[in-house]
Amino acid sequence: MNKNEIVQNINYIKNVISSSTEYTNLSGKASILSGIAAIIGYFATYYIAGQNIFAQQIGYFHPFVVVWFLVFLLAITLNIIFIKHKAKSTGQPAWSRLAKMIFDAIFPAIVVGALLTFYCINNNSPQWIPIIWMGMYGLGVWCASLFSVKAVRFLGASFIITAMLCLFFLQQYAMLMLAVSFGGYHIVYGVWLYCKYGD
Amino acid sequence: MAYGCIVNMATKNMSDDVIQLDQLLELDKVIHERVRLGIMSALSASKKMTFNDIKQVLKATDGNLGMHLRMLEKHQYIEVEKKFVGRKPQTSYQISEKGKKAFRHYIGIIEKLVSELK
Repeated sequence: MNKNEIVQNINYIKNVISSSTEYTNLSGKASILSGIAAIIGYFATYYIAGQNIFAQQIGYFHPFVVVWFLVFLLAITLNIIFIKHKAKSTGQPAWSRLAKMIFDAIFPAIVVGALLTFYCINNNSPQWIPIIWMGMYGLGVWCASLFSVKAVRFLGASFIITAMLCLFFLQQYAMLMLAVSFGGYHIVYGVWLYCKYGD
Repeated sequence: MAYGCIVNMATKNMSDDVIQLDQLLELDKVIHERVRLGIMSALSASKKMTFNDIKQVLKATDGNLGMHLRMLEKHQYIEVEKKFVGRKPQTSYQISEKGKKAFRHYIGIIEKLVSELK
């Protein structure tokens, strides 16, 4: 056994460990498109509801709720389609053990986020909703990052930090930051993913 | 790997690149094989993996993987659990205490070899 063989062995061990602990079946394209959808959603909300979007009482059919629910659905659908497609091209199952772990990690944060949103709608306090979404999504992504590449953790952290900044200092800009985070961060992250892993 | 083969490898070429014979003999031959090294690496990083999980990670064939898993099981480096999920049988594997120790020892030797080669 020579130097080369030892180095090969070490690289092999490293590769096996990372491929058994990191989900890399992520789609940059889906992330970029979801980001664009979020920015469109932001402008659509203002276009439909006017400059002062929370002038009328918020309800389940308020333009803000409807538009962002559609953005959410669209983003999920896009991700499922692109991840399935990518999995097919790499010959790996999309719904693998790691994908299930990621789902389990992200699920509680999304459910709590949805429940808090219901509470805010029922109690007419829509100003907290963007902050709740950013914060809860950030927590979910952070947890998911335990089973994926490091960059995912940065994405989660950015959302959490943005949410906290909005909560303590920039409450009046929460809507804008919603577009910046769900739009901008996802596009930046998507471009990075695309450059690093392709597709 | 048979010891004779290692001796051959070690004596064939006595340049700086070649590792000392006594160190090679220390390498656990149960682990020092591509697929089994892969299995041990994967299991050391995860709590529990099914046969298919391991197959995906290592991109090995069923027969080959099964053979190496049985070998590791025989040496009690891994623990096997068989159960039914619905109607399908599912076998999952996890590393045993003995296996952990052996893997750590193996990595230790590899590390030592690398540091000596630098």
